[in-house]
Amino acid sequence: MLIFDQCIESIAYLATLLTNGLVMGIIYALMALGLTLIFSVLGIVNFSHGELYMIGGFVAFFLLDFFAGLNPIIAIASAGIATFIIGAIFERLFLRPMHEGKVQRPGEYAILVTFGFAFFLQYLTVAIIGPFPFKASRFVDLIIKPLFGVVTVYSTRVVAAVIALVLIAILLWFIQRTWTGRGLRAVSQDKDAAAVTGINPLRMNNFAFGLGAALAGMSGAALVQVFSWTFNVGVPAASKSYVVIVLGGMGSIPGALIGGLIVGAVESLGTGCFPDPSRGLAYQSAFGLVIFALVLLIRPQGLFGRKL
Amino acid sequence: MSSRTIARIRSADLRVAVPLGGLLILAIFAPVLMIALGVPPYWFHVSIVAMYYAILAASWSLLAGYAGQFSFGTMAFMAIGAYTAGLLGQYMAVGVVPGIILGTLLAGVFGFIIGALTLRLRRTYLALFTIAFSEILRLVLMAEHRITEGPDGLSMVPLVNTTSKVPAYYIHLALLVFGLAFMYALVRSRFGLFFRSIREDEEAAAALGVHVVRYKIFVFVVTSMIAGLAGAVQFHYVEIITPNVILILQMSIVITMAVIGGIESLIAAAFGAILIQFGLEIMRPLLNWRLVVFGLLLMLTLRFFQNGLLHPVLQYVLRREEALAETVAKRKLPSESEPA
Amino acid sequence: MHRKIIWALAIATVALLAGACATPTPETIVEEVVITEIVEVAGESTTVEVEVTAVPGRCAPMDVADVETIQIGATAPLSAPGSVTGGLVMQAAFRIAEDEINAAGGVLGKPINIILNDTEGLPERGTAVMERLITQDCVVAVVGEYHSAVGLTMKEVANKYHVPTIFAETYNDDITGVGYPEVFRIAPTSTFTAQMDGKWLSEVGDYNGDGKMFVVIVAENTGYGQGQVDKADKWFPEYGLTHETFFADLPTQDFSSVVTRINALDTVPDAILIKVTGETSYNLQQQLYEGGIDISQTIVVANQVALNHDEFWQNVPDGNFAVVPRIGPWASSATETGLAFAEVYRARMGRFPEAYAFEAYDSLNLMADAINRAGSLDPDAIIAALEETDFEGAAGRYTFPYGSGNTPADAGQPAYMWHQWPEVPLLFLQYTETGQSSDDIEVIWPATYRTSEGAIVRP
Repeated sequence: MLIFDQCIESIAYLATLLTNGLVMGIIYALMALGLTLIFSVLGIVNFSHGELYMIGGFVAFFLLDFFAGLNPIIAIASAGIATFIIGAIFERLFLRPMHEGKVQRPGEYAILVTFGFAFFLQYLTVAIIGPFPFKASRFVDLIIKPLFGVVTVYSTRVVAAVIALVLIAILLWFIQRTWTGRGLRAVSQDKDAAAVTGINPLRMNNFAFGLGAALAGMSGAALVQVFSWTFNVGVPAASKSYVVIVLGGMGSIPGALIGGLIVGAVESLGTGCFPDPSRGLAYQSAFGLVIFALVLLIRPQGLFGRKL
Repeated sequence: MSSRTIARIRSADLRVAVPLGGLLILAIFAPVLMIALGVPPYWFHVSIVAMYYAILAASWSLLAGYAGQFSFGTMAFMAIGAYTAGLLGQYMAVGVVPGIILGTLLAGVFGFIIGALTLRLRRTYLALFTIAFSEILRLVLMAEHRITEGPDGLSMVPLVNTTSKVPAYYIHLALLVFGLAFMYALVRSRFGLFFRSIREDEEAAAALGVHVVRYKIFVFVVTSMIAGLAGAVQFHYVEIITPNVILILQMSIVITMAVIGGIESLIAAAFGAILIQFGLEIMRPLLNWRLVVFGLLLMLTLRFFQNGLLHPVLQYVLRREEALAETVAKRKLPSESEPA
Repeated sequence: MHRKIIWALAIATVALLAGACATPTPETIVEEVVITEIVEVAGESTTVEVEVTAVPGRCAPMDVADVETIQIGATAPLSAPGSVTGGLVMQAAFRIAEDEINAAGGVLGKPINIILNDTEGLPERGTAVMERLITQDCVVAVVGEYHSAVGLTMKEVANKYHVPTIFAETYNDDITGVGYPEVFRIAPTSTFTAQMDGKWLSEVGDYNGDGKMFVVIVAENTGYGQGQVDKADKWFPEYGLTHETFFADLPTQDFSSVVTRINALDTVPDAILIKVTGETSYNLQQQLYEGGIDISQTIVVANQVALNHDEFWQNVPDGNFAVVPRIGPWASSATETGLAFAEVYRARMGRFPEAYAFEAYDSLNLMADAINRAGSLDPDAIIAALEETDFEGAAGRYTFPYGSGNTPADAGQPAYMWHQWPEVPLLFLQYTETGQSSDDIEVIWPATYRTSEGAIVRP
């Protein structure tokens, strides 16, 4: 038996897996968007992305816990602002010297210093708030009946996905329509040419890193009502984002969106259709990683990437 | 290279040989001293583990510092070596030495496959892919617990059949010395020249007729095999291995050791590993804060002491610059300068 | 020139290897030395000659007159990848026990000192930590540990250095099954918990009335989860149960595919057993409800973390009617000592003690009791005293009926009963109201402690 019977026989079964996979995919896309934004402007992969996501979730949780009845939108926005500030400070202290040529080997330095930052944030969180799980209560009290009577959806996740869609829309508007957004795009295409037109690339770097961090933080804030939150939630989330941006093409915004959806769907279908029920779930993360290997083999620049 | 430069390097080699030789002699007689002074066997264990980390940190610094390849996969290759030796011993009653050799070879084979897959691409891909690979490997070792014993750990045949830790100490010391000598020879050879030229300027190296990808893969395979060898030997000594050794946390420890030592010098990286292993042991009472300190130290070292903390000290002690420090040109970001 | 250096290093390496093989090391010679020691027996003026086996490396004092404080080792996971939550709980319990013992005058008139070491949940760390405790900190005995995989390697070191050890929260059968004289355990074995699950489920019977007794197990991919599943595979058929297993890697967040798979099973399960610990169990449980598991057809059996009621209701708001197995005493079944401990613990941690808090607390008290009765720090005397244990602890009355005098084989018991406390209390509790405090929870099994009508409360 190569795949689980239900996968061939039952449309409802497949539709349920696919729907849930796509809902998760939208959330992955939001997170990957931050990563891809940072990559396109600064030219580095942020290995602390997962930890910023974790911190965003905690900021939202503690605000909601402390101020009873706080509007979740404010909590999410505050999480975004907090992670923006953390990201921008980190960029200013540790990444700007690299762009100013004060660091000998910027490629290795960028990987290492963001990785060190991840390590630091994670253990700082454990040391301060401990390893215990926290979870915010539902943002919206809503129970969604199974679609068409057979496709079960998870209401908290749907809420998170809607938040993610709104944030993605705002981000796209910002990048396409505002002056700062155009500045970001200009820097990502050609730093020197952008500088000629009066854009300060260093400032754009700082802003882009902060914005990327804020996107990670806000995806965390949207999900803290869905999953139990601990210091290490960022690790699996970040490795999914890496798969998404490699699949979509590093630095590509449509790539991050489509890549997120594909990874979400593949993980869900992979787990649901793995022949041995006892091991399907254990391999859940592995399915996304298999895509990674395939992309590198077949189309290393990803779906929407510029030719490498 | 002018004859004067050569003469200078040679006299510099002598200056490095004397203190290092002294250290080696000290390391050889250390057990005698430790037993005479009644040092508890536990510190033998710490020394043995420190030497194992030293090999890993040195091999990682060969890869990252000399060849400019950024891999998170050292622990995965280490585990391939160890699990191969362990599984062969468990199911086919293969002896310790053939098991270690086969484990080393298999780590090399995996290194070749991954190298061939990723080293054609931008260096970030190697970093991303090795993270992913480590995670897959860990998942497989966990999920297939009926074969690998999963998180309960796979028992391994003892390295030497005795309760004393002294033979294991000497075996690890020999491995470290041999490993460092081998890597040093590699760096100083023609190959070393090629892959340093690749690190400094890949396009120029390619233009001069260096088979860029081929040399990159060569270094990657060699360091994978060193990691595999170290893992197979270490876990025959520990007698049990679990998939958790591949956790990214363990990898961060190796990287931090090399960075704090100095990734551009094999010896500094190895010393960094030994010092940090003892440091972590002493910091145990700090519990979780010890890793916070560790992370902060990593970031600050990177930002302000790009050659590591130990490397300048070693340079001063050894009073030489050329052979330890590899000249590094300032370069642009990889995304801008690297070709396909 | 550098070529010469490399040659010199290579030759040195070969010489080293040769040296390592050829020279007999001073340590290996003194493998087993039997020395004769004069021991003064307390209270009597006569001296007796006792043979004491000295193990090289072990540095614990034999005579209590030689020490200022008695050092006792303790282990728990205090950093990742170990279960830090479990480790912190055990740490608190050890400290409470230590303070109480010292306040009551210590052991053999000397204060005790607990040296707590972090095993990180890694078997290889277990070996190293035991070596450190025994050869450097010179502990006379060791108590504790949370992870089975770590316990498996710790027992080897305990045996090698002949150090009495009580394991607190390690379920793996083999820890006592090998029959080492030094090793005792007060946690239940995996076999025991699987049998209890089976007994309770068979008493509940066919919950959804479809004519089949079918359960689903979702287990974490760790020593705990895999051990539970192995034993369920072995024992559930004996109780007339069939089951299907799903393994999850820690920390999985998204369980929707598995919930979909469970929903698509041909038979509606009578129960879903969550053999997953910590926050992952909350994620799974909440997603089961959101994914449409019908609690009138299927009982959801949560992990014992669910008894932290504030945390539970925050993380699993839909978790009403969940059943929670509880190892160790509950408020309604605890002894007086247990209730006193629970009060101190609540003042410190803000909740009723977890099973492993009771176990950590009792393991230290048991050891102190045994050393007191042994009247010396000699490991043989302590082991002999432990075998004779009859002690009212926080979790119940402790005895180790199967040991050197009465081996499990002679008594017709399975091998894992060696030095095993046979009467580990295990209760099945059930929440019956959303937001209920776990103090008001119903006890549904076993019948002796039952507060509910039957073996299950239906919604």
